[in-house]
Amino acid sequence: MPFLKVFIKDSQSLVKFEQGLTIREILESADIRIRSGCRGTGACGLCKVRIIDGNLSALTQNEEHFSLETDIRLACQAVPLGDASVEVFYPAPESKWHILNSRYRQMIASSVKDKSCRCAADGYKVAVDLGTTNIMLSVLEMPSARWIGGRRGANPQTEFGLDIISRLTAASASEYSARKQQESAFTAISDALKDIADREILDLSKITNCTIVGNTAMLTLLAGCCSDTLLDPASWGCIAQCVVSNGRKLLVNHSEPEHSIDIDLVQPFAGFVGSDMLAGLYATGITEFSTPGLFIDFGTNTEIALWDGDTAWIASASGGPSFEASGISCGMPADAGAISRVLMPDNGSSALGFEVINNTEPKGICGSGLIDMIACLLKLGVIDSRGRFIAESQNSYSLCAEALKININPRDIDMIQRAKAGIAACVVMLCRRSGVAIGSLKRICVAGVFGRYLDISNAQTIGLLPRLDPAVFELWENAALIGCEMAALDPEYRQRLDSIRKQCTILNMGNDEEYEPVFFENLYLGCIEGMN
Amino acid sequence: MYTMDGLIKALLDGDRNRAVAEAAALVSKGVSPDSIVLNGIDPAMNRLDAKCTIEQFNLLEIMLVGRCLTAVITEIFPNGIASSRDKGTVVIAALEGDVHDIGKNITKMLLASKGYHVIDCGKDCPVEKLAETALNEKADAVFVSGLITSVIPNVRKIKSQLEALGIGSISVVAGGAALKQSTPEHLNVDFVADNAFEGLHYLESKAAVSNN
Repeated sequence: MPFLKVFIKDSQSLVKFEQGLTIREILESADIRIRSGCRGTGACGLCKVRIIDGNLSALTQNEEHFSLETDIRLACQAVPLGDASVEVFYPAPESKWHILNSRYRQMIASSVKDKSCRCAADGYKVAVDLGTTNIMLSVLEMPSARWIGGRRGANPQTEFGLDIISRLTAASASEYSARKQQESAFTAISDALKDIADREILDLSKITNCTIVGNTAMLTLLAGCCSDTLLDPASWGCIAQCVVSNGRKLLVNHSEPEHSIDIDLVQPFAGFVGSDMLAGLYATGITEFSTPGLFIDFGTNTEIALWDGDTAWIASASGGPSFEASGISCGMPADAGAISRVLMPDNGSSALGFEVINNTEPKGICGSGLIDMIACLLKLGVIDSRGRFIAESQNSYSLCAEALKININPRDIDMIQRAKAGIAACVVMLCRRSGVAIGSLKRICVAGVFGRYLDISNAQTIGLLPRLDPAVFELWENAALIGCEMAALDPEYRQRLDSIRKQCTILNMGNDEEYEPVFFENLYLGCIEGMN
Repeated sequence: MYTMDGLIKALLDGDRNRAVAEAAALVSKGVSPDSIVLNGIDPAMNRLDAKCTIEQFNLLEIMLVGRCLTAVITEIFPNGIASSRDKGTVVIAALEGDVHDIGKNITKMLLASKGYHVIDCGKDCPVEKLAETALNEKADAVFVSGLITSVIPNVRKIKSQLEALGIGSISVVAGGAALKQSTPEHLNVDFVADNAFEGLHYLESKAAVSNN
């Protein structure tokens, strides 16, 4: 793929892109914001860039209208025909909301086209995936179902605890905390919508409703109900009802309270298995086939569903947040500056190669980079299958020779071993309990932000994913959000999700005696153990 | 003459078969089980302890060594390890909602090999049963291990159960994959142990304080 070199003031980035995208779309795919006063239609002329190098598409009519100087183009109109360099004059102010990239946009477009009924009403619909760590949302224009924009940002509830149990505990202990957590989630959703409104030029008062999916704990906190119930193990088999109290609506503009938005919380399944899982199954369509399939949604809580042709067997894996590189010494989320891929040394070299998101200075390593790095160290014989450095004197491995070192130490490796053992053990137990032979899986859908840069072969090398033909694997970045968009667009989504609900069964690993020995065997770095 | 080096190395390598064979060979040479604990298991555990402290040992290795330790102790004490209550009594369990007990068993073996009297309430143990056992056995500490995060709400109940029985001053120590990432405040316990050795150190430090 060609590269776009981007100069903004003193900094520069290198963005890989798929041919056919405009400069603005390429910049957005790397979460680089350029100032704009229209939706990228060429009407405002604010997104001027200077072309330093490279061939571009011919001037559009809109551009001609602005009588630009010879090396100046509009980012929303110009399409690079190969490698190019540009200077951005007016970067937009930084935001804590990241733009969802165009690859994701294409995935949505095709899913929505294939599966959803279109509604006739005008206005906009909002779809939200409320995650423990991240909130993702998108806005769709009606009745065309055109995707207007999407955002990803941190869930501000992390202030009350990184994991769901501490947040639920805080909410059940104090009404104040419960209310604050509820408010902070609502505020975050409105903030993200305002960010889209400012940039994509959206009239917030035209938003008609907001559909929200999430894990049970997040929906419970948002609804402001039953956090006690969820903490009681006796309730885990039961259906949790999450209804927003007092018919509460989402307020995006406090000066116009009449423009509040109806909220539709998509009900969770049961126990801790939320509607994000149902939405993921809906998006991937895995339960529509008679052949077995596996769905893994990587996140702070990784949830896994095994479809046997009749029943979706669901389990939660105690993986912890290490796939999001949280708790890892040099870990960071998969944002600009993160090492997202680590490569085996070139011939004649002994150093591992790596790729950095946006080709900037490396600042840390994200989940996919860690998986690659551990797989490479295993292949090179630097560490053994127990996750231990083979050379007695060695207790860390450094990736960069430059001043800014990215190290991996035994504790980091241990965290990944535990996390991957949890996932692998769940997959093995789901296969055993459902009677599905791993080799018979026809589709394996890997969802979650972590999936975006994941190298399947390296994930197989360390035993995170089963060793099957790469053709059966599909990378879904955010299946839950896509499913939520489909629900927002589909007036009959409740019936569709209800029929998926009827086919789901939860397996609680806490009650399964065989789980722990399988977890133990899978702490080793190597192929998944215990498969039938 | 005999040497414990083979046993120590096998224990540290987590090689169960070799460790059991080494222990059996020592017993057949007339070495007493107590001497094997003192001169073989103890030094091996101290070396492992030192490595854990500098984070050079991972969960897999601790589990391998734990499995190995359990096998060796079963080999040399076929009727169970003898212990006195002099050093202290510990009640240990994996709580209701969690049937996984490898971590608990490793901790039990380590504490027993260090001379503690350990009462095992098993796995999937209700909090009430744990508290009653602590009362009946006049326990000095309660240890719980959890592999699954969903057991956390039960861990948080231990203190209040002990208080209800009038033994709220007993130390509560939590450990295990699901619990070690949490803080004592969050779990409502006195100490969160990163591994079995940290739990042991905590007990020893408490004893040192009360002896002074």
